[in-house]
Amino acid sequence: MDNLFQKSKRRHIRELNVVPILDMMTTLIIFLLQITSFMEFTKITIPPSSTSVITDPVRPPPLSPKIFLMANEKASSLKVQLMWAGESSGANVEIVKFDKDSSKIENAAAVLKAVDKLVNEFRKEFPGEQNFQLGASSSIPYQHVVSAMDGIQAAFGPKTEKAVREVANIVLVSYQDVNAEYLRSGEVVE
Amino acid sequence: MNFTPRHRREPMELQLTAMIDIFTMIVIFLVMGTVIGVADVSMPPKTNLPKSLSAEALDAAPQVLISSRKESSSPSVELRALSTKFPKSEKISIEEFRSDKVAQSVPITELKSKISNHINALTPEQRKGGILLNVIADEESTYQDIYDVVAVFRGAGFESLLFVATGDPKINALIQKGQGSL
Repeated sequence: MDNLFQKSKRRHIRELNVVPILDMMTTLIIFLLQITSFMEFTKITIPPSSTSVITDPVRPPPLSPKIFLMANEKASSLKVQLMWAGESSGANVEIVKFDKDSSKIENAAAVLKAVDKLVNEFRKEFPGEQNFQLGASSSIPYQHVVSAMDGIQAAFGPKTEKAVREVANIVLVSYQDVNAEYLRSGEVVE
Repeated sequence: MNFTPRHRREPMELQLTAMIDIFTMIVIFLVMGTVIGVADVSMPPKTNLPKSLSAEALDAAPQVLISSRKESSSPSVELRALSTKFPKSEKISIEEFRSDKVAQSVPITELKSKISNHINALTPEQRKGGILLNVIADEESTYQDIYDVVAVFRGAGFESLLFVATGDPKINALIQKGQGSL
């Protein structure tokens, strides 16, 4: 009987010990912040070049547009030329002049803009063309080549969240071909 | 006289639930946004990468380092791999990569055969994403240097070349300022 009237023990509500969880979370955040790169480096992809066989006689032959960056060593301007083959072959030229006071970034933006303009004009006439050959004179700095690649990609529109996006295929052309074309054209930029 | 009972001052408690919620969200965000290992870009000394508009993330791939002209009068080329399985090369002078010398160059022949052997041993699963190569060079390197090196590596079996650059929003701002089509 004694047991029947004994006071039942109060059940204590167990509390979650959150302090170690917070400790762990803080450590994790510090670790992740340390190793996160936040997209410091970017890249431009050059896909593999390939040979195509024309099986459809109705389809016109490839235009194989070529973008050449041409200048002499230490020249203060750059000749950007876009030329294409085919039935209505042609060429467009832009001259990019670099000011003495302009920064490297400004020069890069100028090259990018010139290439973007040429490719945009070309794509208005030939919207289906996606393969571009890119070359430069032997002394042209790498930065200009990267800016030209950016200019070609930019002409295909800004990068969106769309799954399918047109991307230009860029194939590098030998500097010997570009030097030969520069000499052949006879237009020397200073 | 005021006989109303005085309110007992309760001890202040930290609202841990909200804090844990925020912490969890930060952790999830960081875990999703972190690219572990890929950003391991080893650069030759005194090298400034070119600036680019591109916002593509870097891929994990072997790297070819073209040392800048600022560092020495004769630039050199070095292949560095992310995994130990991939062949690692000694520094090779860029002159060995020139089109007139490349066919007779012993270091280039050795490098090419090492790369070819490695690529041939890759399984179809490993080749799925393509055989990529990150090209790292100074912004002032000449196109001649870049092209000669890249041509050799392309010939050795690398399918896609990824030119590593530094993303710079200033370029976009400069273009937006003008009346360009971008």
